[in-house]
Amino acid sequence: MMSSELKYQQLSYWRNPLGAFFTFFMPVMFLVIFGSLYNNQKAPSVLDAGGAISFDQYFVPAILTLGVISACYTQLAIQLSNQRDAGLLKRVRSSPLPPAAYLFTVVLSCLIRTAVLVGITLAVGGLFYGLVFPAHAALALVVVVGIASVTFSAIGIAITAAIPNADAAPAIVNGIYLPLMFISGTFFPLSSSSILTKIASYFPVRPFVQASFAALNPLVHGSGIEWHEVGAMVIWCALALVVGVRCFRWTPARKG
Amino acid sequence: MTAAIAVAGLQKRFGEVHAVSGVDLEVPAGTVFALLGPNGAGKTTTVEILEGFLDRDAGDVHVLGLDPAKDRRALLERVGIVLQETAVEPFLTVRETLARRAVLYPHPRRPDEVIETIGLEEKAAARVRSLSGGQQRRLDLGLGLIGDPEVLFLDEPTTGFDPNARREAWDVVKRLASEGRTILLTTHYMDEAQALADQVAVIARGQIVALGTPSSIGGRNTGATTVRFLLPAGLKGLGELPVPTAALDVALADSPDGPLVEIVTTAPTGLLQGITSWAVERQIELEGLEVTRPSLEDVYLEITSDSGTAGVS
Repeated sequence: MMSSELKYQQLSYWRNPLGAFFTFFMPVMFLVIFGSLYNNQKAPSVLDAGGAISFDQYFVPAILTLGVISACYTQLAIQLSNQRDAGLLKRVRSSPLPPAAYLFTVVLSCLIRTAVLVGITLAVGGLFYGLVFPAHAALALVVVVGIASVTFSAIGIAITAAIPNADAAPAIVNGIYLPLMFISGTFFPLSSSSILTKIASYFPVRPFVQASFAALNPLVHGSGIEWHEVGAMVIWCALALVVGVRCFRWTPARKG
Repeated sequence: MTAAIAVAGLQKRFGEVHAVSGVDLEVPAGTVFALLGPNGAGKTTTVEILEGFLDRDAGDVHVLGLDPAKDRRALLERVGIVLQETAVEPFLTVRETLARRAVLYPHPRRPDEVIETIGLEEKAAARVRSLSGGQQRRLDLGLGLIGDPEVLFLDEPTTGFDPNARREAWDVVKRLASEGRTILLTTHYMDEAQALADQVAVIARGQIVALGTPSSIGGRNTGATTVRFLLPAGLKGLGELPVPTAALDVALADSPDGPLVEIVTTAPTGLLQGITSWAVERQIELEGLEVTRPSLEDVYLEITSDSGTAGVS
């Protein structure tokens, strides 16, 4: 039942070529922009953790988080708000498909999107920006990005409960993410002693950026998995699931 | 006959607005029941409680013996729901849309069979976004049928259709009814209720104000009948007609074809006998002769005219 539902969600998604295009090429576009801005510079001193690494080694994973968050959180919240307003979610609730099963397949769809997106971003990073893949990178990326994808999908579902209608969705969703994106070191590394960084570490974006950076950092020894950062995402994921399960609305707001 | 749908003392409030205040209704299995009423009368609220979308404040509700508020999951496998506004995934084909839904039911109908029922054979492989509004609505109806439901809820199924599309949709509904399904329909079209329903209930201000068959509701079958004909040439006035003007409601109205006699009576048989034999004796042809009972629409307007609307649909 769920595999069939997943299949049709995927069909529906990939047949909307423009939507898919921007999902996968936005991070590539940012890679090109930042790659030319910081061509071959050494990473700023805030990243000096026992040796110098190229800035590319920082911004590729950072841009990767941007892609994953917009594919899972931003787009999912906007998509669900649109589907709710159009009455499509109400249709789901008029069928015997359990609501949790539907949301579960929605999260699986996001994981599939994320896998494709990460593949493209890392390939472009490796081919054009001299991204180095340390031995621990593969496993660490699977763990970090997998957990992040589920977490940000869950947050996308939870935030949909707070979105009154589809018109308001982009403003609300971006209004929350964009400030966090800047204070979480997505576009430039921030000193860990800065006040902004301290604020950001209470939210899920910075832990994702830090964990992705560590997963690809050749100077890190061991698994490359920052369990502290991963744990922060897991806590956010649990919070989002509780809110999502309790508050998610399937029907458009009543008119009049 | 057992009742497929039974509602007693149903109440629902939204804030200060009493959307439904004490509705009772019973729909026997295998019949078509139409719920008529102005916008905001409580039609959709009632139906959405039956479908389990809304919780009720008070009353007993059973659909196929199940309580929609408690046994919704089990109920959803046995009912089909066609909501008021059409919503279908644009990027799937007609067949895919139906197949996606079919796997969710224990005993679904085959998608191709449903496609035939809704008359979309030529569009089976077309993307939904390429369909016209009427075709999308029929696909929406198909989604309500795919689970082979015992009870089908149709909330204003033909609103916004052109006359042809409405006739086609009616044919589909009639076919479904002939298969023995129970259908609960809401509509504001009187002709739709007349064409499809075995029973009609008029709902206004959250209450059922009239209940009956389409031809008897509101005393249509026993109420006043109007006899009309053009005043025969040469007659000067009503006094020359063989009609006891004192006893009946007789009037002369203007019409483009000349003065029109209108007689309202509760005993049209004797009246017609008197008038027609009088005319035949004199070899007068009564031009424009017609005998009409109040239309369902007349009855509806009369029933609902003194009822304001509550502002909730």
